[in-house]
Amino acid sequence: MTRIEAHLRRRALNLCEPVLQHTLAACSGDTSFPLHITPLSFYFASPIQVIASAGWSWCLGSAALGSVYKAASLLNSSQGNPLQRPGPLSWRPRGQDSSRCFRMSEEVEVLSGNTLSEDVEKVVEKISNTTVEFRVPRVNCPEHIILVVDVCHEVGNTPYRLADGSKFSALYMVKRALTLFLQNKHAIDARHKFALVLLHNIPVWISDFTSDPQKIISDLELAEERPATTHCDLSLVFELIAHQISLPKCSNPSVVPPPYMYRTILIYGRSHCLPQFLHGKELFSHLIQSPHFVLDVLYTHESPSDNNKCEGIFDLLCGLDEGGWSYVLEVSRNATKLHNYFGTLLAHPFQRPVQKDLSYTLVPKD
Amino acid sequence: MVEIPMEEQASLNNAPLNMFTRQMEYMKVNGVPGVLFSDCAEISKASEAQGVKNKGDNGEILECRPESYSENTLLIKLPYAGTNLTIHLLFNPQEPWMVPEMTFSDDRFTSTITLKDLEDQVPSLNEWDTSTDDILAQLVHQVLQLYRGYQLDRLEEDEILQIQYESLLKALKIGEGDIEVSVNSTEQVSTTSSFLMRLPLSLQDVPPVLVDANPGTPNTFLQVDFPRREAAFVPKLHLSSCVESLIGEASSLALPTVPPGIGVMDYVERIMELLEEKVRRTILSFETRKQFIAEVLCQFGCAVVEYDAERFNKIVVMMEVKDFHFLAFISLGSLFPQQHGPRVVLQSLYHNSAKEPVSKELTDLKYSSQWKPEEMVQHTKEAILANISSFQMSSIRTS
Repeated sequence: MTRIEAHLRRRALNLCEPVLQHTLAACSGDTSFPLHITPLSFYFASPIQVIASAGWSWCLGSAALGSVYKAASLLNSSQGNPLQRPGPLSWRPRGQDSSRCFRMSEEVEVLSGNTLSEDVEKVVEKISNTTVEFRVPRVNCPEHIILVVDVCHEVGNTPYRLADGSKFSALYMVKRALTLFLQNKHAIDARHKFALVLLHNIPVWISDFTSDPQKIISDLELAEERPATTHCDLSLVFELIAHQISLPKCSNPSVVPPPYMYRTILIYGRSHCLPQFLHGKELFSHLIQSPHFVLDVLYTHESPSDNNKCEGIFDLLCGLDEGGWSYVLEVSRNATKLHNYFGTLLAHPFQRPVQKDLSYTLVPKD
Repeated sequence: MVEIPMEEQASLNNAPLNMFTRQMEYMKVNGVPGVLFSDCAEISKASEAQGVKNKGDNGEILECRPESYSENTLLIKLPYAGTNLTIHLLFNPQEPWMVPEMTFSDDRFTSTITLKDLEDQVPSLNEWDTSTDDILAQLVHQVLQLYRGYQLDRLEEDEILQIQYESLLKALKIGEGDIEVSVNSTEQVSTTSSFLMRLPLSLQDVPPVLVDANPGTPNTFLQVDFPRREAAFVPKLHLSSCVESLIGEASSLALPTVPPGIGVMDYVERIMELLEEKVRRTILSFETRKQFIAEVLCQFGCAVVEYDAERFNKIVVMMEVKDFHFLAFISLGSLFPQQHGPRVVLQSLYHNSAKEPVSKELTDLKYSSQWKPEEMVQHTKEAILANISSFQMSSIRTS
């Protein structure tokens, strides 16, 4: 396991991950009901309704930061009085839950015409005592994306080499991949807006929020590489951001979707300069504690070695993910992987899976 | 004799308009009470309106442009039962705060109502107070009630129409306020009479997110014109923008032809069945879109990029086949699933033209409206797999 993989694992373990026992319900021994288990990430920000009919009870499986295995079946409505049609789509307002958690027990209703097995009863009890933390409803509200692009060029930086032998600087490849990111993000939802910050010795707000990706692309084209600095003060980055934005105010953020949300994508490109909070973290903490502010990081670097600080820098960048909701990605001089990661960053923070659950492989049927 | 300076004269001439700015604004905000087509009511100065057509002494049609009092006259044009009733309010330029004189575009109505009718049924004329914001709204409402009563009196003279009217009230379970009647036939002359009724189309099962997508009250109106006694009636459907967004524009809904001899009540019941079926289809479409999106999330939950979590019109996932990553945009429309399947567009993460990434729409997607969402998603997946190589090749060539 590489150090980077170990980092990801440690981050995963530190996260709140209630685990429920996965079980199937079988009460009367009637196996004629078709059952299938499907992994279902908890996409609808709602309690999953548990339905029971004619002695069958449906139990919720393990939950990992919103991933719930749902035992689903088609109910035969002639068999009594199902509470509600099954599905992850049943939505009810959360009510008076003041915390950011909801209790599944409020939504678990079990009817049984026959006696439940002991195992099922134990699982139902466990489910009843489990909480799943949730920050915001999984609604695709417009994103206001702040792109913080590091334009420092360090001495000895290696270029990207493509298959045809051509070479391009790191900043050039980032610009190219960002262009596709902006075009794709705009195609997904034209309501999304973008702003551009260039990071050298100090961050500079170049372009204010616009839904026109071409504006940002044009400004990005004008950005030039600058000589490397000896330090990178992240305090200035978040101070600049905090002064430029206005976080939406929601009375009940776990239930009510905001009119928009902010996402900062920090694209850091230095292999010898540790990014640090030289002037305190207050504004960063203020931003990051808001459920409507998300920070993602894409670290582009030289190949890790004893001659650079890539691993230490990556450790620091991982440390910015205090809540477990961020994507922290790293890539060396691999153009395809760089573009893939910008694809990963297209995902809406309120709807995407957590980083460790990402999986894109489309498996052929056979 | 007191001479009034020109400036004051002009000011006095404009006094009615300035004086009733608040009252006109009140009606714009709160609507015109008593008419079904409240949004279509208009209030204007006489000078801004077209000339008023009146009948001359010999029965010829004259167009009057009352220039002499145009600046002191407000015209309130009210849609009623498929036609318009215009109320002319003529103010005294010397005493604009006094009760105005009233005339109407319906000459027969004008000649029928008496002073006693006005005193009894339009009490706002006796309690005229220009400082009250809703004084014009009160006046309009009371005049409309008077006009409605006048039309219902005329309806009693036409037995067939009267029976149609009463059967509609009973069958639709609507109140008298939900139907406007305009009776224009007499013993001597038979012209078009009209009913305009608010149909009790229920949207209570429609997901609120669809209803709330458009502002305004969801109203469904049916206008039925009776051109001649022996001729079949002519139906016209009017839908508010909210309802149109749910079931389509009124002009696109093919109303059933009117079978000879059918009563209005029976025909309206057919219309209601048609509209209710449209609403059911809208709900079904929404539910099926939800199921489809849920199935995609079930199968590709770990690859979701973004999806429409309110109306379930679209989902974007990122996929990888043999290290080639791409986006799949899957769009569903209001005609899904009955008339067409999902629209799938593959989009590149690596290659673009000047303005957009390279993309390819799948045109060979198998589809059947009878399939369950799982089958639809499975076929979508198969179509993507079948096209990915060609998309990969073409995106390299295109960029």
